[in-house]
Amino acid sequence: MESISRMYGGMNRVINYEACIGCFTCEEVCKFLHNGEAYITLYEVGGGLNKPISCFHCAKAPCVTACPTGAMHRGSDGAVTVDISRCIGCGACVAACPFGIPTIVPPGYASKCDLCEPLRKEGLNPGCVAMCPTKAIVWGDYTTIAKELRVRALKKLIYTSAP
Amino acid sequence: MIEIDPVKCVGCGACVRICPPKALTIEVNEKETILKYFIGRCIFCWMCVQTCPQKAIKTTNKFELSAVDVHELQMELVHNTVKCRVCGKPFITSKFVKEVGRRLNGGFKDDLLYVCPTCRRKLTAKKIATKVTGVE
Repeated sequence: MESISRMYGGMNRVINYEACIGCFTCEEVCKFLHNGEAYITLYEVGGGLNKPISCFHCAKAPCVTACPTGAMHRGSDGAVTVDISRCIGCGACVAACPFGIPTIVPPGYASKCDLCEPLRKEGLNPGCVAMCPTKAIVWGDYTTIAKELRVRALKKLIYTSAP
Repeated sequence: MIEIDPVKCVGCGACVRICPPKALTIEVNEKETILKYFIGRCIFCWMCVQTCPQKAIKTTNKFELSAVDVHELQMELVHNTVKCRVCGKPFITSKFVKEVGRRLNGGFKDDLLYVCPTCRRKLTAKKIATKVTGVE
């Protein structure tokens, strides 16, 4: 865990589906922050429930491997971002992503979640993390995330098993 | 004028997006993806040559291109279109899917390469939700 952390600057985001209530707050915040374009979107998973999907910022990202120009790269804090001056809009990242995250936007470059780079530069959390009402979206380095999720799992075990 | 190598070209459409006078256009329909090059509009800027990730476009010395019929100035390159295995929407050329698969070198399941991005997102959301809740 720590070796991955050191390799990639260590920060990542995890969406905890158990805590998520499907309220669309993250999608709306993302839309507001990125001029009407949401990088975290909710899809129906059955039973009228909606759950969010966004970039996982994979450690071994297929979009980075597939990109012919090196526009898709690992930026600060381990976020996979697009260098739009290098991007040629070929759509290789769109075809390569197993989760279908990047999109080609006019005039012709790939666009995806960058974990709110402008906000992070100011020392703030990404928009979706800051606004989530149930704190279902966790952001931090790998050890913090692992610890947070363990605590939650433990709490759930205790409260559900109690009579 | 430019020459497009039909073997190297995968039909990704990068040249179409960069072309300043829109001399290169792409048309996607149910069966085929047609890359059209209309020489009458071409300004010989070689932007497409520089952009092409496959190095499929070559420059030539021909520039005096008088023709009797306007259709002689139009060139077409036809690729097969892949339809999404889930929703059936055409989204990419079959050669481009293979090229991306080659670049990834078996990084993930081949089946997923033939699924459109929107369906991939839906599948991922469903997969995680079923794993977490244990209910379909």
